[in-house]
Amino acid sequence: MTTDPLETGTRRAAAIQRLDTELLVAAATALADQAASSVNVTIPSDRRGLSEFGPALHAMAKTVRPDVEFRVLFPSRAFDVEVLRRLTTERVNVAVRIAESPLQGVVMADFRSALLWSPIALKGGSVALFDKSAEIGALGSLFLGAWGSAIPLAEFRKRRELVRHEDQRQVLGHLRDGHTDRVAAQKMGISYRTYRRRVAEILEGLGAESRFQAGVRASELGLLSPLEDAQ
Amino acid sequence: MTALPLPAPAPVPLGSPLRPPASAADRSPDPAEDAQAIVRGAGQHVSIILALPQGARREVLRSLLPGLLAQAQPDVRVRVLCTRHTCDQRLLDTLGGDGVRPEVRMARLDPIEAVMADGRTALANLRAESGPPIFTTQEALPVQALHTLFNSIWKKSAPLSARPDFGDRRRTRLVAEILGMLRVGATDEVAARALSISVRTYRRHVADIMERLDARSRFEAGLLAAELDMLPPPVERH
Repeated sequence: MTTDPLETGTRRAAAIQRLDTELLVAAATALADQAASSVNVTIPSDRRGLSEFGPALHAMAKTVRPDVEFRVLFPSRAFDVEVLRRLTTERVNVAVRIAESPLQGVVMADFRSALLWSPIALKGGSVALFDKSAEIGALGSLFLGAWGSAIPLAEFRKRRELVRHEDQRQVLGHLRDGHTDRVAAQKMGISYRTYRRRVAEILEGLGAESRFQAGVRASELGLLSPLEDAQ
Repeated sequence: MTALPLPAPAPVPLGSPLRPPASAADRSPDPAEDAQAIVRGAGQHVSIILALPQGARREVLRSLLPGLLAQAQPDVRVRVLCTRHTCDQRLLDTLGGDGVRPEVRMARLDPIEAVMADGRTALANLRAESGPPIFTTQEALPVQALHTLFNSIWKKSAPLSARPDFGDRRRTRLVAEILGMLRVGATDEVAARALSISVRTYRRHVADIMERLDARSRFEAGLLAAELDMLPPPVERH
């Protein structure tokens, strides 16, 4: 009997993927259930990563004790409204932040043990468990560093809202470039009063009482990052 | 490392023994040699993190830094991530020396010392009481995970060179006070009164800060001051 090699290949890939996901869910929940104070998760960046890591994330969100801190660091390129909506309905005590760089799949329980996962087939397997060791200490430290510099989900949503319209982005640009209100209004082809109103709206949206404060908030929200070019 | 074999016959048994600490087997007698070999072997990039609190007993990599930098190949990109505590005159002298000039950024970090290069990593042992001073690993998963987290922090950290120097301590403190006033959105009148200076003097100081930041507007001054982590700690956000 002859089999279509392509079809066989596809079937095998699906089987391995299913096994991957099951294994991942079992390993991740087993690890997360040991946590006494915190479960810290980073989501892998690529789409395939999220589709394979997602089930483990949802499983952990449901099984981890409610009093355990549950932190999820989400790379912005994998930002997924549906996954986040599900996550926040599955669990009340969950903190989500958005990082602007790609990440790898990591689950850490109490910064004592960790599960590392990669969708890319690595030599020796793609899931690894670690107990208290030098790597865990380093991972924990860098996780908290990345967490501290990431944007809380609510702020990230606000930011998307704030820069949704082209003229809002233009006003931010004029504020940054130091154009006087009259010049900026002229450049945008709107009246001075309308421009001033736009600025007031942006300041209000940013919760700022002065333009300096608006600049600080814009930085915190990552609206206009001067460092981005330096990267 | 004994990574879980894939595909595995069954899901991981609950409570299966986790991995022991990074193996000491591949460590050579001289820890400095380990870390130097990692830097020497790097073909593309070397990332160094120095974030031990002041007076930490197990500070290892920081004291090895001159030797490490000397090992880097000339066309390798060297990045150093430090903290307020580790970025002192001693570090700047080391970095400003001959040889490679690394890019330096400052971040807020929990204790860690690490050298990462092209898939190999050396980590300082932070537990002062036991074990070798440095662990090394070239296991793909932790090395990758550390690398992506490093990049994430790096991208959000301020280059050291961009932060202006306001000279003497008294002036630096005044600048900090003015930035604090601007940070809370105080009007020039209120801020000047609080600092017991005239509004004109206050505005002159603000203009000077803007010039040193190379900011074209107060909005941009706020943006830059925040990016460069020059502002007093903000109110806790969640």
